[in-house]
Amino acid sequence: MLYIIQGVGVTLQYTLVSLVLGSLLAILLVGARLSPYRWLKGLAIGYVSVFRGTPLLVQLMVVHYGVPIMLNTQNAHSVFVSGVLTFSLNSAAYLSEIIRAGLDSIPRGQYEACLVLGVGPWDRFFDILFPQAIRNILPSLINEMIDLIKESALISVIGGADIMRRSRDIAAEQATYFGPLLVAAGCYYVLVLLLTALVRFVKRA
Amino acid sequence: MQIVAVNHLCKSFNGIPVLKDVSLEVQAGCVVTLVGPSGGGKSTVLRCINGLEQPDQGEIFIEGTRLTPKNVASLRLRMGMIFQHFNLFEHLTALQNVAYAPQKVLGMTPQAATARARELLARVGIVGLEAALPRSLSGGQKQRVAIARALALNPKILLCDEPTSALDPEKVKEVLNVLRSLAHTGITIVLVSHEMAFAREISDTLLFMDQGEILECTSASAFFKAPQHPRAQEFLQNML
Repeated sequence: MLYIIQGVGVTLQYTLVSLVLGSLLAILLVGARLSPYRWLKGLAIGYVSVFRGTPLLVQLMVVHYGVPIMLNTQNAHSVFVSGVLTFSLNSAAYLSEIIRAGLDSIPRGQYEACLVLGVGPWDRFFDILFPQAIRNILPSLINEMIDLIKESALISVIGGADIMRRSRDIAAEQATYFGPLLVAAGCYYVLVLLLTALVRFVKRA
Repeated sequence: MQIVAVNHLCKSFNGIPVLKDVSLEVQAGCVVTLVGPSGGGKSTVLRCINGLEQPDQGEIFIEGTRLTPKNVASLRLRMGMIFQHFNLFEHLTALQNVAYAPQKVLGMTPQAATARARELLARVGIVGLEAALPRSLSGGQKQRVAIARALALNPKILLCDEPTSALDPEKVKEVLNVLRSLAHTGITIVLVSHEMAFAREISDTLLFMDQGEILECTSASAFFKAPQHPRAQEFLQNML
């Protein structure tokens, strides 16, 4: 059982690294989406559409098995790289939509007040618009994190030693499924409950 | 000296004309008020003057310099703007709202900007509420903070777009008192307002606008005594 619970660290590792990389990519996507260049805008829209429109498991397989063959490299990249890469690319699509909605939720008057006061684009975004947007979208961001924790179980399919994989190892060893899988479910559930509590706390603040 | 000149301004939104050949002049240090029915184009004129809207045709001169997309950012610093809905930065305190632009735009030190913000807030009667966030202020207080914020950049012109229209009746007075204290102190005020008594009291020039045209341009006393245009007569009858 301890062996399964130790998978929490692995699961969190995948989740957190993907969340950070995904957020950075999401900010770039939002920038592209709001840019005046049509091709850049189209690229961002297409990206989001594809990554939201296909199953994460398929994306994971394509990245882990498909891409190395396509690039004709002998040694496939590690499970960790494939996992983090796929999860980052995938959650960037969702995160970019969340961030865009957050920016949209800020009244136009805030933007006009900046213009009138001569506040430049950089200060306008980082001092005025973004701090207000982040408050509105924090609950959605944490929801996305919850999704990511649960979806990261897919990494077990390509061999990542996360909660899910460990529980199946134990299941195979002891020739019983119910107990180990129940422990795995419990681990995910506790993680999600903790994050849900965080949402409630943030909403009150 | 004319501080603002607007020549033959035309503007339409989605094919519907809102300004039809509007021209006006504002003398430095004066108070000019635009009155007229809602939807007549008063706010649009104000928004064109500081470049928030681009006119389709016509020219605007600020202190003799023609407003263009290139120089709009620098010319804007000579103009403060007060909005109907205040547009205070909701995540900043009253004091930070006022101190922000001097610090970021004029490059003042935080200490100097804060000191100046305190002084301006005191001038508009906001004392003891420096640390309050906008959401905990009344409408009248918010608008007074907004006035202090606009004054912080030392504008020569103050554009006021219906500054009291979103306020409870009893809060209107506190905002008008602040504007009254500013009028004829050197700063030029261009006001859009439905407060007829106030317009009559503080304006040097009164412009009556309806359906995208300026129908009357006269002194405040002449306008209220004997409006010339039939639509102005009708408007005044309905207002008083």
